Amino acid sequence: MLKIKDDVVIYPYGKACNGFDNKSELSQEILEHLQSRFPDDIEEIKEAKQSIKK
Amino acid sequence: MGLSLTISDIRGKAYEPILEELLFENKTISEALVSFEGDVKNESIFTENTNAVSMQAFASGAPTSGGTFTLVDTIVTPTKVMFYNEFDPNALRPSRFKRSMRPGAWEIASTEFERVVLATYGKEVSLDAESKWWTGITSATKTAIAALTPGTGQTAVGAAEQTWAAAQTATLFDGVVAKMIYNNGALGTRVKVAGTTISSTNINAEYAKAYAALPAVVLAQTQKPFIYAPYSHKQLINIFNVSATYRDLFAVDINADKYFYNGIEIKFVPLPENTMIVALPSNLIWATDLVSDLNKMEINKIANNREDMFVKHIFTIAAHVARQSTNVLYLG
Repeated sequence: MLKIKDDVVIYPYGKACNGFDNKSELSQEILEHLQSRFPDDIEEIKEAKQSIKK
Repeated sequence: MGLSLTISDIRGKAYEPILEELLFENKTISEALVSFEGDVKNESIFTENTNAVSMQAFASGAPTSGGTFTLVDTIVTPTKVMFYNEFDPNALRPSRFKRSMRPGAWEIASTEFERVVLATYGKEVSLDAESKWWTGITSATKTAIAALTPGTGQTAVGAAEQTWAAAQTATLFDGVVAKMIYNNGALGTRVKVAGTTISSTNINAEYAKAYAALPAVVLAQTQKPFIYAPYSHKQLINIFNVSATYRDLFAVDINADKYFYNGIEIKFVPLPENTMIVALPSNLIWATDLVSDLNKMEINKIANNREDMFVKHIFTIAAHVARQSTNVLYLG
């Protein structure tokens, strides 16, 4: 899963438009697109594996 | 009250001109960069026609019908909007504006305030309308675009298009870009070009992508298309040309303030960064009741027994994009 790094705000269409940060609700497709343009500002996080204990 | 004052009691001489905010001119209207459809009180029907012909072998007997006439109507309903602001001219009495008030305690109207401040406010209204005509998007359209399944093909919404929609603040009506992405309840049939962040080093390559995507038939028309680009591209193009080794790749006439890419004139409009449109101006339609409504403001007392005043603009506005499949939308 991709996410915008903490303390980073991305303005893909300039500051006249809304910026995105790690609280923005963005689809993974949008995050992939942002990663192609701002590779240093997007990070991949590994989903924690859930184990079910009986 | 919509009057924010940081004023000094006028004692000495006031520098004569008021230093107005620097504003772009609404060239979409003043230079007619697109088409205008006035007299749209409520609804207007735009009809698009495409035909198909079918050559067939001659027969002396009964011929078989071939070909089709296709007519598609689109109903465009402009949104009625207004700007309304109240202010108390009495608050201007200690300021420079008292010089242009007539003698008498009743007289608090300043001609200088009306001539400069309210005129600039009127320009702001015009620019706001222009900006939203290009980039406006309703919250319903934002939601609809976000719900589409993205893909790289022309028949799927682009991830960049979804990103663009998510980056806009919702407005009261859909502007040109929104109409190109989502039109009449479905994905628009624009020619989409996946772009990137445009800089002074890659601007040539990015314009080439948009140019190459333009259907050739558009360049064969009597009316020539424009490249509609953000204001910042003027600087990026100039810097790029300075860096070009052998010749200017963008033709520029600095004196006439004209910019071209491969013979197509570039028009700088209030589009967001990394956003471009290549289209015939007749395809982009500004529908309104009366174009000059934008320049009409009413200034009056709020009530006869009050001294505070209001300034009000009312107009209708809609963006319609015709011949969608011939228009290029570049989004970084």
